[in-house]
Amino acid sequence: MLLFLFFYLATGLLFASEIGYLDSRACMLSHPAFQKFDWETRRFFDTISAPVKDFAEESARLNKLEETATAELKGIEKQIGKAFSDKDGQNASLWKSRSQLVNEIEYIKQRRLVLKTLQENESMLPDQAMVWCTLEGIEKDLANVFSQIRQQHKVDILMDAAALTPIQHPSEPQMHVLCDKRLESFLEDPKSIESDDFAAWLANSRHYWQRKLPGVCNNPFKYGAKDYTDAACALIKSTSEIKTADRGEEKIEK
Amino acid sequence: MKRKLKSKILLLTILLIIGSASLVCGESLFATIDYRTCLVLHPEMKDFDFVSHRFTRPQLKRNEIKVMEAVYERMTAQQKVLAPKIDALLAKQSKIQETISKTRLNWTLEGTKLAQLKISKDEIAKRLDETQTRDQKKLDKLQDEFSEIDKEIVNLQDSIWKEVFLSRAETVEKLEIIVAELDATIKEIAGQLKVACVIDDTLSAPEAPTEVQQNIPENTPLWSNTAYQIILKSPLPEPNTFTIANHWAPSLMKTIENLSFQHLAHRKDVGSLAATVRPAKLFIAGGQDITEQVCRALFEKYKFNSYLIDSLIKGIKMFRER
Repeated sequence: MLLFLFFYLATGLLFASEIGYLDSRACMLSHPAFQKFDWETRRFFDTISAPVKDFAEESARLNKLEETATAELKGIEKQIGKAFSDKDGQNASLWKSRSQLVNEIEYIKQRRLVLKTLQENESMLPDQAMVWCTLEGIEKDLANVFSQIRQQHKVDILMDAAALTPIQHPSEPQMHVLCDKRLESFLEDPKSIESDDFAAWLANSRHYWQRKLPGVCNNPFKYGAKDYTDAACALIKSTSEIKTADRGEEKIEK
Repeated sequence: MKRKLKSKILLLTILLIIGSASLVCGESLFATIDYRTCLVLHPEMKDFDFVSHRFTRPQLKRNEIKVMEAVYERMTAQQKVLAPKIDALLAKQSKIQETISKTRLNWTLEGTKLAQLKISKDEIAKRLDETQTRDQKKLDKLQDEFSEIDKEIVNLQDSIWKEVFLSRAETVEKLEIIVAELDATIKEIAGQLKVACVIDDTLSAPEAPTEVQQNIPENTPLWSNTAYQIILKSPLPEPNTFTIANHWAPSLMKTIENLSFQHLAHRKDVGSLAATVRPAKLFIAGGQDITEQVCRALFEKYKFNSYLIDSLIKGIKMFRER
């Protein structure tokens, strides 16, 4: 009996699923790290993959950054020692600041290594492989945000609109085909609907309206799915920036 | 005891009926639709004129030659009166366009000039940025002027064509109504078929131009290429056999890995070529397509002849399966 009850409830729950979608490409471009992507050199500014303008200047900047970050880290660690008797919230914020500073120091170390290699190779542009590290970090943040969206909005199925939206503009409609015969004339002569003329008219007409009404036509979700792109983009914007390469996830494109 | 057993059996039967009913009536989660086909075949679309990009007025008596002749005469007379005004506006527009192009060209020239000076790249970028910021306000103003003139021209054309065509604003309004009606029909059909979500799966499939479709040679190897053939013919040793070949197996495997990577990089080309032969469908099994149901519902709503509906449905099917 219990089995039947469970079976009944399970089927009921299964079919009452909440379906949502978001555009992962839009989300990716909203990431703070992606805001500093240079399309010309295809590198991320302010990360270890950034192009170098002046070695001496960059080195001085890193020294200054390191000095400040180390001093701040010492201060924070002292505060952490004192704060153990206080509230948990204060501890958490101190640990967060500490981890940010540790990341900053790690970035300085990695960037120095990159600069050294570049100087040896007499190049100003770090390897493309460095970009992969940042992309991996972005991908991780996106996955985290998507799972937050699922939990917060109780979404059972979350789909990616980027997988279904057109990847290119529809081809230019052949206007002579469209102007030659109107839909009305096909409706007046049902036999003509089975002709190639109708297929050509229909194909061109679809392209015409896709160009004319892109907002209406290019959205693949026509009914029943809720758009969470804005919510996801807002969450991603508050994500911390990625400056370093996560060694565990390091990927090299050959 | 007997009564208890009876009530247990009764409860079990009720749950069994409810359980199986929920399965039978259960919603299928997804359905697909060719939205663009439904949109272009919406009965109201029969009045759309692709030459003027406007809807013709539904009350227009197009079959009465005398009435139409009189209408066209009035249109020609009106056009003659307004032609100088339209020409003047077009000339003004082309002047604005010229100024915009000159300003942009000036940026390029400025860049070339600065590059010849012995100043740092940062300084060049700074000076160029200053020039562009200075000119941007002017360009924005010119762009606004251009759009205003565009509106004036549209209004004049609307006044010429008003007897035959809806104005641009009226056309947009009618389109909105058509789209809303189509969306409502999709919702209605989805409700009837107990579908939770409707997806247009015709958008991401790449469509090759007709001339490409016609020119694919019959023996085009869609699913293989040289790299793939090399991978398949690689002289790898048999697993669990101890031969000298086992020594070089890891390096050969690495080569295959790299070759596969290169081979897969070209998969898009193969994909787009394959799409011209066989359009992709989101669900291979288990999904349902509601394009025909939605079109049929719209045709029936506008009281189309049932033979005409059958012909249209057949036409849609032929188009989608071609």
